[in-house]
Amino acid sequence: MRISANLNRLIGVAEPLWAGEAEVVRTYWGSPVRTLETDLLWLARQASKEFNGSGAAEFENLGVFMGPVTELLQMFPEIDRGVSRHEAFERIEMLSEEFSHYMAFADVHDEIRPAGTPPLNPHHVVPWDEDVALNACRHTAMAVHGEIGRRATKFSEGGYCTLFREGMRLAGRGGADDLIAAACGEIYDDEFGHMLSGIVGLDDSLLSDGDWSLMTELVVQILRHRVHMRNGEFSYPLAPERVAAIFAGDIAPERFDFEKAEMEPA
Amino acid sequence: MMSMSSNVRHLVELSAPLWAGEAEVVRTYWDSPVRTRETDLLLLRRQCSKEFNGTGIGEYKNLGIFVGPLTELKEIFPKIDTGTDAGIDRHYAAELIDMLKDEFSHYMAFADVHDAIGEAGAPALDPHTLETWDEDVALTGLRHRHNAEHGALGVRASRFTEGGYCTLFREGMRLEGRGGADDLIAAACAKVYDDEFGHMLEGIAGLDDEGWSDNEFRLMGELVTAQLRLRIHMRNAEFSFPLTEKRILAILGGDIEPETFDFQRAEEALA
Repeated sequence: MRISANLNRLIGVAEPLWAGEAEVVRTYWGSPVRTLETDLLWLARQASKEFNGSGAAEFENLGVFMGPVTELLQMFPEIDRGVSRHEAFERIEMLSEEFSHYMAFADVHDEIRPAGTPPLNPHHVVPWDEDVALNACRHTAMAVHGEIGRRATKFSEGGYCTLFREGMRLAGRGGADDLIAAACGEIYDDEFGHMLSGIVGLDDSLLSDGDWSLMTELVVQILRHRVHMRNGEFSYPLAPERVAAIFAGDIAPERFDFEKAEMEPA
Repeated sequence: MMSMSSNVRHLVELSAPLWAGEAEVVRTYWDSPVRTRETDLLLLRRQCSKEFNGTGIGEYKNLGIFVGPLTELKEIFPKIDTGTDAGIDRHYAAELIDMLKDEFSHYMAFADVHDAIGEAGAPALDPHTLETWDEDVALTGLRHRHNAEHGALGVRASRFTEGGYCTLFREGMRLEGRGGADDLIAAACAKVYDDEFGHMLEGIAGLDDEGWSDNEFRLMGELVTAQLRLRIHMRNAEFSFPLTEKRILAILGGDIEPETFDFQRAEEALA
């Protein structure tokens, strides 16, 4: 599928920021800030995002668990009477995938925790400032800009799977690293599909050039928040100066894999 | 490799002739003079009704296999992995989500076939107006009664008989290569069979880990037999009565070659 020049430009703008998020994670694996405690912290935080994160355009901002559950219960009387069965199934798949991702990270957390410490309780994970800011940015984008905000949010969901791709690269290092790599590998394929679903269709939506400009601005804002969010989640492996340099463009872009996405650049 | 207990094997022996009866209903229908496009559409609507929001298999508050698990998920959400006595393990929540996903994908498979083989201009399937039929009402009523009267054991019996050893799907798959509606039905059945067969075998083989006593196994045998007998009636009516009442009585009297149970695959599931 050949994509439009507008979509091509949007991907080009996103690529350096995806690379920034990847650098956070890649740096963390070999960073002096890394300890068993920071591993448990980011696993708990990531599990919490998969358990009931919000801001990814889910139903009534109810989170990735209660959002689809509530929406499906509400849509039940309308299935195949206005809401297609395929749309309902997409919601079920979203619920299923997100929850399986929660399970993958929660299982790693519980596997590597020290003996005698409690297992993960996803209800007790304390939100971190940068994640709160990211969610607020997404909610505002959707509230203020409606459909364009929703599409910008969907486009930026998962940050081009950088966490999972970098996590997979830990395979073969043994111990916790192998468990993390396996969990990330399990999730990567699902998420790449999600990410594509946020991109595919943008070209069919008859957006004006003004809409594309606005969406590009929103995507940049959200992706910058994502770099901060990920740096906070991983106990700040990157210094503020390095984050500022990334935002200034001092980074090789993470190239979008058009072949895997079965897309052709404009 | 672990092997299944004599109690489970006996339950399978009781069930095998009745599974074979259900298979005979479906196999006979495909080439029966009762079969028309209208009866195909009717059986697809009826099967959709069961897959869309059937009830009686121990789903939450008998709310059906769509609303039941969703309602339960909504209620258990605050308790997932809390680690308290009232806490709910994440793996249980995942099972509910899997059940919802599997059943709804089965509904979609049959609904898509229904809409594909209907006459041009005919309305698409509306799952909310699907008619039930007397024999299915009777089966559901019996399961609800068993669940209510025998608690966990009744629910286990209902789960054991769910799907009737996948006979509909296996017999449906055998239509492959005949073209037209038959190929569509075969493809839908193959999709469902792949989901269901492994789960079903694990469910049967897993009975041994659940701590049922000999007496409980005996009672379960009675409940399972009663439900599987009604399943044959349910399936015969769903398929517009390809078998005569006389033949059904003969099947219920034991005049049938039992369905062969795949003990090896079941035991592999336990390994």
